Amino acid sequence: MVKYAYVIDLNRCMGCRTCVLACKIENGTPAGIFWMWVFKWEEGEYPNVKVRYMPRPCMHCDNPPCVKVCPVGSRYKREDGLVLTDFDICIGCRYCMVACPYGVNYFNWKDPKKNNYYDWLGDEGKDIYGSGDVKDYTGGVIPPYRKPEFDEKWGKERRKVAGGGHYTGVIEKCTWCVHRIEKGLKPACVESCPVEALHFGDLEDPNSEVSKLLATRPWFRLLEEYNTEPRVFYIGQPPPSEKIRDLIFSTQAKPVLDKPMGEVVESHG
Amino acid sequence: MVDREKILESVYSISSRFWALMAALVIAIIIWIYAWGIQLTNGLVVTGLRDIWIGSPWGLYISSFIWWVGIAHGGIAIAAVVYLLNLHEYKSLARIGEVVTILSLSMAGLSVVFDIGRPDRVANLVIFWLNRVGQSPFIWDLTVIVTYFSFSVVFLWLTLRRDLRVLIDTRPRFKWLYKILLFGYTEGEEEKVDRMAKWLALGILSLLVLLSGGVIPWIFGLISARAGWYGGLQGPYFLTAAVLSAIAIMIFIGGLLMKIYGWEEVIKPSAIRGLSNFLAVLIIFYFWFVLHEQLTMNYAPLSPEMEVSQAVLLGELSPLFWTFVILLLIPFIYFAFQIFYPKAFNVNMAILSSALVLVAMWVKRLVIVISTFTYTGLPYPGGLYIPTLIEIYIEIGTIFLFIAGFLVFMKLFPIIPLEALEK
Repeated sequence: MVKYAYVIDLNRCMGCRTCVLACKIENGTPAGIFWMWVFKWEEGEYPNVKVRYMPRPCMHCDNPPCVKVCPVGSRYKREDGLVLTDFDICIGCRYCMVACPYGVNYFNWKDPKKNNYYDWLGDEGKDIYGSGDVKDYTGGVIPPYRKPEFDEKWGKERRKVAGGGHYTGVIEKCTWCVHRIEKGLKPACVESCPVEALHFGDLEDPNSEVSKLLATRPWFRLLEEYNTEPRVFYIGQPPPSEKIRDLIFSTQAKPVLDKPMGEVVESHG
Repeated sequence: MVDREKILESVYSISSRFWALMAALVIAIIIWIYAWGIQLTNGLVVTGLRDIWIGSPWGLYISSFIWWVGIAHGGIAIAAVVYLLNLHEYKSLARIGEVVTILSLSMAGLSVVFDIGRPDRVANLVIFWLNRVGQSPFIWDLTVIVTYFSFSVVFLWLTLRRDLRVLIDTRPRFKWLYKILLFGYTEGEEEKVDRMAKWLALGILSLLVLLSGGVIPWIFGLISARAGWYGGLQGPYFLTAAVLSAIAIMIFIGGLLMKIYGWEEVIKPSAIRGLSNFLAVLIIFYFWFVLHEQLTMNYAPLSPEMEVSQAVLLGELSPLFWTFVILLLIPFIYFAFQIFYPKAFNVNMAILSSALVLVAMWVKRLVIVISTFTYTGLPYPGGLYIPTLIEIYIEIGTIFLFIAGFLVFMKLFPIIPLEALEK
C-alpha cells in the first residue's frame, strides 16, 4: 500500500509562488481560493530579522479532524492517505473549515464562474481590473474555467473528487492533484517548483526521494500539538517561532503566534 | 366559569388589531422570502461570512441557531415539570411553553438551512446518517433535535386533546381540523392520556440535558483547533444559557399575554414572579461560568486561548461582549432586587427585563461563535466578521415566522389549557 507524503525544503523555497500559480492553472480554482498557499513572514528583532517562506498545501492528515466532523461523509480519507472532498454530496456546512487547524478549506461563496473573473472584488475590483467584467475584455465571451476531463470519478470509490468542477456552496481544498497521482504523475506544484523545494513520493518505499530526505534530514510538521498527524514534512529550517509578522497582508499585520508552531524531530537515519 | 369563557373568547374573536398585525407580518415574511431568494441565487457571498483565513465561516446564522435551541429548551421543560410535579400555579403557562418549543426548534432548523451552502442537498443528512452518526457532532445534533421535536409535538397533542373536545362542539368552522386531531378518541381517555403525557414529560426532561448540555455544546467544545471553544466547560455553560433564555421567553410571552388580555386571574403574577426569581439565580450562575471561562483563558500566558479572550474582553469584539454584560446585568439587578423587596415587583418591569435577557443571550451566542475566528494560528490575516443587512434580515425573518406561527395557534386552540382554570 502506498503512503503518499510531501517533503518541503524551506531552505530552498524562495517564495516565488510558482506552486500557487501552477495549482491555479492545473485545478482552475476560482479567485480567492488557494489550494496551495505560501506563507511569508518576518521574525526576530532588529538587527536580526529574517524573512521566511513556507508553502502550505493540504496536510492530508492521518488523523484528519475534517473527516471526523463531516456530517455527510463528503470528506473522506482514502487508503493511500489522500483526504478528499466528494463534491457531489457536500452540503456546504463548513464544519471541516472550522475544524481544520491549517485553514486549507475554501468555500465557494458565489458562483465560481463569476468568481473566477474578479467580480468577487466588487467595486474594489473596478479600480484594479477596469470594469470588473471579464466580457469587456473578451468580446462578450466567458472563457472556459472548468476542466471537464477532471469531472469524472476517481479512485477505488469512484467519487467526484478532482478539481475539474467548482460548485457554488460547496467546500473545496487541495487534492494533491489526485488526477495526476492516479496517472503516475507528480502534483502540479511539485512538478513546477523551479528550485525543487517540493518533493512528493511514497513513504512506504525506502528508496523514494521523500523517504531518503526524511531519513537524513531533521524535519518538523506543522501544529503537531493537535495530533492530526499531517503528511507534509518540512526540512531545511526550524519551525516558525516566536512572534512572527505576516508580510502578505501587511496592512493588517499582527503578531500571530507567541510560540513555536512545531517541533524538530531528528532524522531517524 | 367566567375565566373559561374569557379564554375561549380569545380563540374565537379576531380583532382588527390582530388582522393588522397579521398583515404586517405577512408583508415582512414576503420580503423575507425575497431576501432569502437573493441569497439562494447568489450564494452565501451576500452574507458577511468568509473563509476562515480572512473572516468567519460561521456567524449570525449559527449563533441564532444556538439561541433558538436554547429558547426551545425551557418552554417544554416548564410544561414537563408542571405535568410531572402537578404545579397548578404554573399550569397556565404550560401550553405557551409547548408552542414556544415547537416553533423555536423549527426556527433553529431553519437557521441551519440558511447557513449551509447547498440547502438542496439537506436530505444527505438523512441519507448518510448511519455512516456519520458515529463521528459527526452535527449529526448528533440533528438526531437529538429531531427526537426532541417529535416528543414535543406528541406532548402538545396529548395535552391538547382534552380541550379539543370542547372546541369541536363550539366551533363548527374548524370542526374538520379538530376531528383529525382527535383521531382515535374514546370516552374517558383523559386519565390514560395524562399518564402518557407524564411519561413523555420524563423523556423530554432527560433529553433536555442531552440537547443543550450535550450535543449543542459538543459542536463547539470538541473542536480542538478552535481556541475559546475547546474544553469541557461548554456543557454546563450552554445548558445554563439555554435554561436562562427559555425562562426569559416564558416571562416575556406569559407576561405580554397577561397584560394584553387582562388575564391576571389566569396567568398569575405570582407565577411570573416565581420565574423571575429563578431567572435571577440562573444569571448568577451564568456570570459565574463567564468568570471561569475568561480567567482560565487568561491565566495561562501566551496561549491561543488568551488571544481569543483578549479580543473578547479588550479587543475587536469587546463592544459586543460588554453589551452582553450590561444587558444581562440590568435585568439581574431588577430581578435580584425584587426578591428582597417584593413590592418592587411588577409584571411590566419583568417583561422588559426578560426582553433584555433575551437580547443579551443572543449577543453572547454571537460572541461565542465568532470570537474563535479572531485567532487563526498561522500567518493568515484573519478578519472581522460584520453581518450584512440581508443576512440580518433573513435571520430576523425567523422571528416574524415565530410570531405568525404563535398567533395562528392562538386563534385555533386555547393558549391556556382549560384544565388550568379548574380550581
